[in-house]
Amino acid sequence: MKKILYLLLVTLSLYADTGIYIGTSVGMSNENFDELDAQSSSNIALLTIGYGDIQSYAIELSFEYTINDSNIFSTNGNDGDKQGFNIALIKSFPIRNYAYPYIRAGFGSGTMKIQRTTQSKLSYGSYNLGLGLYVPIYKHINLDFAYLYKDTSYERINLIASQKNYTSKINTFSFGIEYRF
Amino acid sequence: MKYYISTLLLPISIFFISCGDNTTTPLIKDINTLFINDANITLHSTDLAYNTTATVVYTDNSTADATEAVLWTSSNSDVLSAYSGALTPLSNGGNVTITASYEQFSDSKPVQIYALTDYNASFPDINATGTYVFQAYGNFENGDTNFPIVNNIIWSADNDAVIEVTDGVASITLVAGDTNVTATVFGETNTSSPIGPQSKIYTIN
Repeated sequence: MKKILYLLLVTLSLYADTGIYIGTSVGMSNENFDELDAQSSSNIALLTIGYGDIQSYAIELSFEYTINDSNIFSTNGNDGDKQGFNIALIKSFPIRNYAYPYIRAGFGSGTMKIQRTTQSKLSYGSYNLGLGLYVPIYKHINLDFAYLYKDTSYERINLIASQKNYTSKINTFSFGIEYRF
Repeated sequence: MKYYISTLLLPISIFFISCGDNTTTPLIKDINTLFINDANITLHSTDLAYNTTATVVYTDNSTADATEAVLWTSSNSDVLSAYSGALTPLSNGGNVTITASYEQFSDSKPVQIYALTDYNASFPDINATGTYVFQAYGNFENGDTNFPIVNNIIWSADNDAVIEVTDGVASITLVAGDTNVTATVFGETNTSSPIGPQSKIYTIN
């Protein structure tokens, strides 16, 4: 599924008007687990680099750092911060020249340190959907308001006799700034 | 424009209302200990495999069968094999230690194998062609006597006899002529040994 999505992203990006942009964002995320009565609210920071046109399609790669204050997996300490990468296809819908609402779809993966008897890190993958708004404030510079929904699946937890898989839903809101070359 | 901003503000509002809590008590159990269920295992050297099991205990005191997941080892693989918890004697007597392990978790237990001191192969009286059952019984160092030998025994016969062996019990189909039927335990070839090969020649007209 991820390979198909990746091919789709690359193919569609060929139709985008060329242009590289970089950006940074901060935000908050709220994670709710499907199999557990567990919740995690975290601050996040993102660094993004993209290629495309603010008025149509873009493909974007982002590095995401999540400050994790919850402790759900670790039994000999605390869950560590999360570090992940996301790739997304963005389609924006210009409203004249003062705002560019967009939708995004993609996937991501990442890892976090945990402290369990048989595992010291935990990887995860996610399918991502989002929407947002670019607001130009100066030549080449835009504000970015974004909402991102992540359907996340964690690496299996090893219990020797069995392996248990956990999933969660993550809602993230972020605010950032970007520069388009 | 107002429509888009409103669309964005609605989920933001819901988000900030709902977020804020952090789960700080781990909800997923972890591994506490791993142990082999049998305390002292004793086997006759001619027994079939004995199946032992391993159990994992979690931090919430629940347990699960870990027999298939752990690595089983024998301190002397020439004396006893320990594959997936199946303990099979390979030599005539000895003391070994078996270990079930998984990363930093492990448990070990001693296994004593009682040696076969002598045995008696039952050779039935036969005077016609047909299929006959052959079985051997052993005496062991721990005092067990006349105990069926179900492993580490080889039955052989010449003169085109057909042999089928199941758990040490041989079904041998004899044909006309002279047929030498032999039982050999632990590959012992010294006929003067108490566990040396035993044989009988059948003559069928």
